[in-house]
Amino acid sequence: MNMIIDALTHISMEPDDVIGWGPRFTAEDLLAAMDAPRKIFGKSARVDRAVIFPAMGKTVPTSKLTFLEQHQYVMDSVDRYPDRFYGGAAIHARLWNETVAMQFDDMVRNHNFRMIYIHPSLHKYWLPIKTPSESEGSKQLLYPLFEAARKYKIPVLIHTGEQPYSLPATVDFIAGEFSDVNMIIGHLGTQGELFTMEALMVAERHPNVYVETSFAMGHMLIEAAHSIGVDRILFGSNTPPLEPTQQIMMVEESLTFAPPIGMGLSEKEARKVLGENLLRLFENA
Amino acid sequence: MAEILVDSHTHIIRHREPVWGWGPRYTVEDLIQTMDRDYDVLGETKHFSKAVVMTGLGLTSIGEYNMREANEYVIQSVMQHPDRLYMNPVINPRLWVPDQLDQLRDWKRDYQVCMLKIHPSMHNYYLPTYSPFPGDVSKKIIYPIFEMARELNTPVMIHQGESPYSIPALIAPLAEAFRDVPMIVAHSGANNAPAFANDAILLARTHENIYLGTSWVQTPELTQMYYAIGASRIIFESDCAPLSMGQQLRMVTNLHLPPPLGVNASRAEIYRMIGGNIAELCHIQID
Repeated sequence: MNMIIDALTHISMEPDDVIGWGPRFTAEDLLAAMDAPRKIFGKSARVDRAVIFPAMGKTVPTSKLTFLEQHQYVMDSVDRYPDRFYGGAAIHARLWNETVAMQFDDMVRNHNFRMIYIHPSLHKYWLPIKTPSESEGSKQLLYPLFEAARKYKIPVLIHTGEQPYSLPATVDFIAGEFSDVNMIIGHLGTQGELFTMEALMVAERHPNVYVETSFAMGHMLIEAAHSIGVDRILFGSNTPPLEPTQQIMMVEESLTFAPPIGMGLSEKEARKVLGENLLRLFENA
Repeated sequence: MAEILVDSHTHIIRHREPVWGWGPRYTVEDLIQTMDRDYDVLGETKHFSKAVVMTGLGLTSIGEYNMREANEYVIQSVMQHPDRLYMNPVINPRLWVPDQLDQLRDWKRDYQVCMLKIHPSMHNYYLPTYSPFPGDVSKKIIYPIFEMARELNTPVMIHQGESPYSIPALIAPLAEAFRDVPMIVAHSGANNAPAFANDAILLARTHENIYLGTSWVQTPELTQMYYAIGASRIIFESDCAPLSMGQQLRMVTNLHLPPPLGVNASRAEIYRMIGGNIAELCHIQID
């Protein structure tokens, strides 16, 4: 099959003035980056498909945009390039209501949306924990989203990588509560190296937890493969601001180069990470 | 300026690295092979012409080696590949300063020493502070290294990236005491925590003798770095092994892309960052 599928990208006609990139990154810019000349395993290769999310800055609590407005450009782009894009909904949980639920239903049924993205840091909440007094509000806020993910059998990507809201260990409780919902720990728990081991401990405890590779350091990706196997690792580039070729090289070199730079896996194993695993997840939907 | 690739930060060792733990080995032959791989730079296939080489850092911390023993494999390797490799001796100030420092004069002449390396975390010391404690004690073991660097006309690379000893702001007193000695902030402080790179950028903006290394850095911080201090003080480093030279190089060459993936850096600026700057700083002949 040999498809490369990118689990995490963003597009926007305007700057993302919260995350801090710009001046824009259109659907066509993303396609150009996906199709840029590159060699993977010694052969020319494009990124075949990508899950596209809006610029995360559009979804923060101070945004004046409705949920639909936040996602209109993503919807239009998926409709325009159905062979290249899957839609991704970056849901600010505090916006969730019956109207949003209906709009999301339409996105899934009619616009090929395949993933929910939640971002505790940007949207300002803790993931649920065991303590009722601390957790009740969070449950009321987030459980409807996980119930929606269950209903449509689509995975929930959870941003992780910084204090205080986005520590990967906080995924543990909800992963147990919704053990039939697939969850993806974004950025391998990190945006660099910190917290990766936490992410892997959570993933080791819960077979419904996957990890996504953007921002990961190579040796931590190797640790992930040793900890949970390659079947639950998903390539994501987080383009923009990261760039797909560099992020693919991180996966290819870390998994297939000889130690100490890599771990000497076969191309076949690495290709699971680069696309096959995500495709399998989507086929379950 | 010649358009060649120079890696300012590599490690070789004949066995497993005894502190970091990577292995089973990364020999000079492995390094040369990695340098000779095909790398896409601005659409052209390139190879690394030269690299600055360090020992496995653990050898300078445990095992009770003297400075020569801890760096011996690098010495032999540089002598074997004088057209490709330059030496960066790693100095443990607690063990080898001042007694063993003098030999660096001979090493510079005989083994292409082009830089000195210190590692506050590995060797457990604070860099000299403004305050007398721990500053005065630190000065006794650290100042002789910087005086030697001044004499040898080499930069000093300082490992940075974790608490408590290796936070970039802690370099400021030293940068002010030795304004004529170029200092390279290894990993721009992002070895374990990417956000420390912002600390390094501020340090570089306020101290002209500070240069920033790129290994372990993430794209958003590298972009910030370019706008803050310009291409002339950004130094490509791979930290190979254990990091991969290709992926680390790609992050820097991506700066030629338009925003938001890059910064529209010119071809000349890219080649400065991936070779020219370190060659100038270390007096490595590249023409």
